Formats: sequence, C-alpha cells, structure tokens
Amino acid sequence: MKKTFKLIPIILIACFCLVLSSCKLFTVVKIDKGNGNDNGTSLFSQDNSFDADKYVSSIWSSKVIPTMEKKSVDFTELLKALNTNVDEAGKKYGFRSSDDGSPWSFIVKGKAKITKVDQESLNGMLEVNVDPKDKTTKVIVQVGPVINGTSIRDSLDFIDFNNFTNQMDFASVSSAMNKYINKNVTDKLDYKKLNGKYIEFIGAFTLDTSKEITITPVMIKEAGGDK
Amino acid sequence: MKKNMRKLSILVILTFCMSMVFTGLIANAKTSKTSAKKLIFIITPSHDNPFFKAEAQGAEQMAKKLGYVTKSVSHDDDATKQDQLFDTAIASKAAAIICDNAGADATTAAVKKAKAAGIPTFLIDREINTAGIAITQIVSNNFQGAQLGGQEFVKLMGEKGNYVELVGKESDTNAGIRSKGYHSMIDQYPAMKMVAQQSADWDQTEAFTKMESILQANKNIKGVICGNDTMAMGAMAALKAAGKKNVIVVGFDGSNDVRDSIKAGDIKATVLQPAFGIAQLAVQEANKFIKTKKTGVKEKQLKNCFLITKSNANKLETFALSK
Repeated sequence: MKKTFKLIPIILIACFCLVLSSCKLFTVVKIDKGNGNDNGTSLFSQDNSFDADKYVSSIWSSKVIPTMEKKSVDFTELLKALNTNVDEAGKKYGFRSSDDGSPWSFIVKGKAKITKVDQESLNGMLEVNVDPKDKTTKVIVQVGPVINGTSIRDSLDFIDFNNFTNQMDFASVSSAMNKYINKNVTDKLDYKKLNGKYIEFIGAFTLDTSKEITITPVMIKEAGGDK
Repeated sequence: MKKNMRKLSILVILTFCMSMVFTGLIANAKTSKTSAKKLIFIITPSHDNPFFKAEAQGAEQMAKKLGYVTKSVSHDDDATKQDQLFDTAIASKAAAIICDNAGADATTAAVKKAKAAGIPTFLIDREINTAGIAITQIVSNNFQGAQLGGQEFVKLMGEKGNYVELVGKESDTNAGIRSKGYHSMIDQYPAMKMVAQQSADWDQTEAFTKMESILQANKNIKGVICGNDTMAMGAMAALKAAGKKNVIVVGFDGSNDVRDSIKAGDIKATVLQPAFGIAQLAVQEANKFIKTKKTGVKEKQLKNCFLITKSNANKLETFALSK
C-alpha cells in the first residue's frame, strides 16, 4: 500500500505533462526592433544612383540601333499578319516580357506616305499610309517635341525589369529614350514640308485594343522619290 | 475505515489522472487534425480601403480553392505592426506569406526573418529595393499607371489650364510614385499650370475639405488630378457643392465608386490597378513554390495598370477588368 502511494505523485506529474503538451498556454512572439526608421515607414530610397540619360546614350549606338535594325519586320507584312491573327503575329514577330496576356511590342521598318501632319499638340503626329489596301488601321508616327510611351524599351529583350532596382528606374529608361529621340532623331525634319511625301522609318509600337498604331521612330528620313 | 478511505482516495486520484489524459489526447488530436491544411498568411493595409479588401479577398479565394486555410491581417501602414505580424506568421508556421508591404526598407528585414524561419514571402502591389529575399514580387506599375492618368488628364485639359493636385499620404511610397508619374507627363506641357498641390492623405473627407479651401482661394480651376479614387470622390463632391461644373477630375485605383461616377459623367477617368488578379497570381505562385520549390517565373513581375474612361468603365468590377 505504501509503495502505491509513492507512485501516485509520479503518475500525477506524468498526466499533467501529457495534458500540458497539448495546451498552448502562451505564444512566444519575438520583438525584433530592427534598424529601420523611427516612424517605421520610408519612401522609396531614391539614392539617385541610376542615371537614365547616361544609360540610354551608352547603349543607343551600340545596342539599341543594331538590335532594332536587325529585328525590324517589314511593316506591310506585319499589318497583314496582325489582321489575320494577332496572337500568331505576336509570337512570330513581337516581344513581350511575360506570357500573361500583356500587350505585344513590335519593331518595324517601313516606307510610307504622309497623309496628315498634326503639330497642334505638343505630341506632334504624322498620319501615314503604310498599306493603301488596309482601310481600317490608322498608323501614326510620333515626332515630338513631346514623345510619350514605352514602346522602344518594351520591344527590346535585353532591357528587363529584373535588372533595375525599382519601377521608377525602369520607367526613367523610357523617359530618357523619348528625350533622346526628340533631340537626336525627330527634331531634325520639317514635317510640314514633307506632307504628302514619302518617309522611311525604323521604330517600335505596342499593340493595344484600339485600331490605332502609334510608332515611336528611332530613324526617320525622307524617302528618295515618289512611288 | 482507514483502508477504505485509502482505496477511495486512490480511485479518485486515478480517475482525475485518466480524465486529464483523455483531455490531453483529445486536444492533441484536434490540433493535429486542423494542421493538416497549410496556412497562408495575408498581410495588407487596412481593409477600410476597398482596394486592399479586394486584394485580401482575391488571395483568400484562390488559397481556399487550392486547399489552404488563410489568415488575413492588416498592418495599418505601420512597419512595426507589420514586423509583429510577420512574427505571428512565423509562430503560426505559415506555409507562405502574401504581403502588400508597409515600406520598402523596413519590409526587407521582415521578409529576411521569415526566410530564415523557412517561410517564403510573395510580395504584391508594392516592391522592395532588394532582390533575392522575397520569392516573387508582383509589382503594380504605379508609375506607368500615373503616366497613363497624367497623359489622359493633359489630353482632357487640351494641354493647358490651371489645375490642382491632391497627393496621397506622404508616408506611403505610392503617393510619391504617382505624383512623380503625373508630373513626368504634365510638366512636359508648359501651358499646364499647377495652382495648388496638397496632401489629402488618401481620405475622402479630407479631400472634400481641402478642395473647398482651394476653391475659395482659386477661382479659375480647370482640372483636379488625384493620387487615388477616394480623394477624387471627395474633390468631386466639393466641386459640386461649390456649383463648379465641367471641371476635369482624374483619380487612381479603379474603384467601383469612381467607375459609377465616370458612367454618370462626373469624374472623367481613373487608372485601374489589377489588385484582385495580382493577389490571385501571388497565391498561385506560392502554391507552386510550396509544392515544387520553384515558381517557374522571374522574381520581379511588373503588372501594368489600365486607363478607365467612359469607353470601358462598364467592364470594371471590384478591381478587375473583364474582356
């Protein structure tokens, strides 16, 4: 009898342990102060270390132009393919950074007649007639002084968002490109004089849901002679 | 008598022990049953803003569909609170964390901590400035969106006129990003004149009050560009109250409220951030990573925003654009 009595405390303790093992009496949450700011939140670290203008001028002649000259598709041919099947045309001729249904960008070269010059807006535009047989697609070449859009950057596979610190640095590339184009490409011609004449160009556009194509040119010049 | 007492007390003690053991076993069984489903922790700013509520809902729905249980919490734009929530996720042995973060620099540390504890983080909407820590960053391209909104605003203003800018909460990185995006477009047109620029902290009521005062000081306002939709709603209400018609108001986010305002012809445009879709995509990538240790995609994925005007407003519902 005495022996059993001695066992009881042991049994009691053993039972307690079993019960406790399934109970969560408290949760240990570590408080790690870290080395952040006092108020906790901070704006993007704009350390100004990325100079987009420098980047663009450094790659323009060495990478941008050679890539675009090499990869450019004849515009008339592309228009035909787009009017047949957009997805097929995109896969064959276009580029996009991800496969999730985001828009295709294309690099094109062409020769076309200027049918209208609109310099009312700071976004100067030339309406051009690329394929006289195509009556539905409106093709515009933007000639500045204000050039908008991200088509050139988005058409180049060697410029990837993952290589930039954040979306603002990535965005500054296309802004710098637009500035560069206005200064070195589109500012050179008198478009009013070219109305009704033919131009040759190399450029890029990003396809959207409208029936309007806006080309950002990297090369534009008066074509030799009428067709 | 003594012998009986002894026997009785032993019996009582033994019964007591048995019942404790039973309780213990049942409790153990219960916890192991619920831990069969993996947990996905969803951390966003407050759900008072329908945008973040849509993010949380998008993530929850996809997670449940894929067989997870979820816990949605809010850091209220406080990095310290966010840090504590990461700790909770770690303690809860979450299988993954989906997070719309409370500040790039502070979040890097939190994500590193989770990584060290074996928990992968999938960032949505806002990015951090360091790669290789979160598994994926599905970034909402606020800058591109703001450029779209800014471009449309300039077009509607005919490239000239006096305008007001209402900026978001200054501690939120997106407030600065959107303002910069707007100005990267607007400032190219010298005839566009900003007559007032104030923060309304993302808040509808504050935007109303600020707009009221601005209208008293400036009689000739042609347009108002706002860092988000709730402020655009507040500004629009103030303009109406002051009897001002045909003022061009543009917002950002793509909320149902502003969609309805656009359809009614009041607010002219907004920019949709595909919040619902981004949150769902993050959960899908988390699921793939949990199962295969790979996502099959690059870490940083930039998701573009969409311009919403009268022409496509009817396709917009809870931060998603139908085809």
